[in-house]
Amino acid sequence: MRNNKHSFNITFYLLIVPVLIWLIFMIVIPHAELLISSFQVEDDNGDMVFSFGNYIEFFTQKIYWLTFVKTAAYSIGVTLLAFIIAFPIAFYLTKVTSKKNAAFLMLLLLIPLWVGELVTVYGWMVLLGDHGVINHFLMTIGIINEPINMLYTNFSMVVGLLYMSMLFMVIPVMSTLQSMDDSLIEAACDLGASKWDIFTKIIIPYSMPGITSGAIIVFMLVIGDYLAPNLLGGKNSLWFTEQIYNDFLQTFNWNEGAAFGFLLLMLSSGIIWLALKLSGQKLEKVGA
Amino acid sequence: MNNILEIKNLSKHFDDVTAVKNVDFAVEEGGFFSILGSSGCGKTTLLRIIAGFQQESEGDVIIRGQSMKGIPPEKRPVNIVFQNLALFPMMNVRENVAFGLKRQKLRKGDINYKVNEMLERVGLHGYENKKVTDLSGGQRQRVAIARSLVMNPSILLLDEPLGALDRKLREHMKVELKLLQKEIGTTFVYITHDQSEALVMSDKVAVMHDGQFEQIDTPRNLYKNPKTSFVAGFVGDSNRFELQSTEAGSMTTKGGWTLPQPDLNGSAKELYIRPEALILNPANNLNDVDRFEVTIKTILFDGSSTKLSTMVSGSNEELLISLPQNAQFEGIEEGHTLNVGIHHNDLKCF
Ligand SMILES: Nc1ncnc2c1ncn2[C@@H]1O[C@H](COP(=O)(O)OP(=O)(O)OP(=O)(O)O)[C@@H](O)[C@H]1O
Ligand SMILES: [Mg+2]
Repeated sequence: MRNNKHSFNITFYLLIVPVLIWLIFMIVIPHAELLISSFQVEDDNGDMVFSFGNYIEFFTQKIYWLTFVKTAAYSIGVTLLAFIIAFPIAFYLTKVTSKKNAAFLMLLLLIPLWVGELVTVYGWMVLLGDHGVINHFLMTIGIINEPINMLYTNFSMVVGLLYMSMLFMVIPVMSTLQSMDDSLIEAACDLGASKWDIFTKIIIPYSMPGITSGAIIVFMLVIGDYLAPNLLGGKNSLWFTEQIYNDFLQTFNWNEGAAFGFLLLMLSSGIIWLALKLSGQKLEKVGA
Repeated sequence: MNNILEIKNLSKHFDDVTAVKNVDFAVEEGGFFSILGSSGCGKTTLLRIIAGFQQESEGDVIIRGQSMKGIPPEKRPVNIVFQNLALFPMMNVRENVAFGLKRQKLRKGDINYKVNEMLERVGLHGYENKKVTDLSGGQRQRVAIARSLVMNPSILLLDEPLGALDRKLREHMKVELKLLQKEIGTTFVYITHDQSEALVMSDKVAVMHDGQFEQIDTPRNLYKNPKTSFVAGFVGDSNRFELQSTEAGSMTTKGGWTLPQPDLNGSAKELYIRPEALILNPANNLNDVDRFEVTIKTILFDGSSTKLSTMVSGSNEELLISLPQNAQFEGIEEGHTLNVGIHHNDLKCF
């Protein structure tokens, strides 16, 4: 018995040690480092001293917190759009089409992941540019005379963000829908529910855990994305990650960058927490 | 009595199989009608056609004199309890039962009143706010039945609702369901592959085989007077013998056992005898009884349904005989011979 317990302990430590190493070296230490440096500024002698200066800078400079608010608002909007587009796709793939078709369509959906974000962003630039495919086509068939300005706008940025994140909504929603028995829909129908009732009272509530985890992933990907806002967005579609990038790599103000990084972390965690509260979902259920 | 449900010559063809073939029957108002058949014989398909989830290939479903052609499931005055119950897992007991009433846009007070009354009736008072995933099998069963019954359907369709329960609970729910049906008076159409469920609960039972109805009758008649060899073999236990020859007044099985031929049915090929129809040590004054002797091979002890496996003397036929567990037959042992009788009416030939 004692022997048994002993060997259990060894297995337990073997399993827990890599997790702890990962947590400490990849998560705790870098973030602690960031947190400390975010409260430091260089004084006149070039020494590092404790200060709230980096955070005060954020709240006093309008451009910073305006970008901050805009990033948050757009991220929420893109997440909503991703849900609106992804849900019918997930429903079609799991409940409507045959298994064989679904597997093939799923492969098509995965293509953007294979080629990477940079390539898909360039793809959109080719499509949306003033001399791009869409404008060229519209002008050839004579619907427009002047090219429509689509690239380097908020529109092109949202398209790019949606495209790279949508799949992460489709997959968790598909997995909850797959576990849903079709007889639930039939039972609701038998009890006199209309199509709309079935959708809003049965299908959506049932897939809520999948929707929530999809929304969290999409939201995090979008709010932390750099490529799409930078390459597809215009001069005025400044994204908060671009501010952080500027601090770290252009003005070399690492301390302010660290403070902004922390603010972004707080913002995204705060919004997710609020969304979970509002939708009545529990994090442990969403993760399952 | 008026018929609440009439099925007229109903058939359903799938690509390669015909699941329902020319089924024709009627159910009386307030009756408990069971459809008994083995797995895959088309029971669910038939029920789904009545509920409107599947389209019939030929024939018609008539409820209260009205054809159901083209009427969608949500508009039909029937409700269904699914084989797997299909409770809504994200709702609690009250929300599940209230779901249909809410769709009818009833007033909140009315809904609450009806839901409470129904939960009381099925013995779930006090469980209103429990999640359905936290209930036991029997309780989930009752929620499913309450959810359908609260809609006050003309007909309640039940698809093997007790199939997932363990034996003890099934025995219990069998009686409870019958009492509930009597009390509320709703017409039940009940599907099962378990003959005991069908016999205990029903007013009428249809035996279904390969998409067709073999016989529609009262439970007692199905058991006593099976019309086809399938019914004789399917309902209750039976000894089955193949007949070698039949002539006026007598018949001989393949194993060489000769018995009197009661109904002079010259073309009979099979003989069925129920283990419990055999009389041990028949009294001399019994009339119309054929007497013979058997040798006991083994005793198959199974409590109240204990049976003797025997050989009929002078032949090569095995015969199972029910052995009542009482003092009279205490001393019976393997190798003994026994006098056995069978009443002519209990010899079923097809
Ligand atoms: N949608 C369908 N498409 C093709 N064949 C089907 C379909 N539904 C049922 N069948 C076939 O029809 C036959 C009857 O099926 P059904 O489900 O009605 O049987 P059942 O009596 O309810 O069986 P069980 O007791 O196992 O539930 C089966 O051979 C089945 O394969
Ligand atoms: Mg079935």
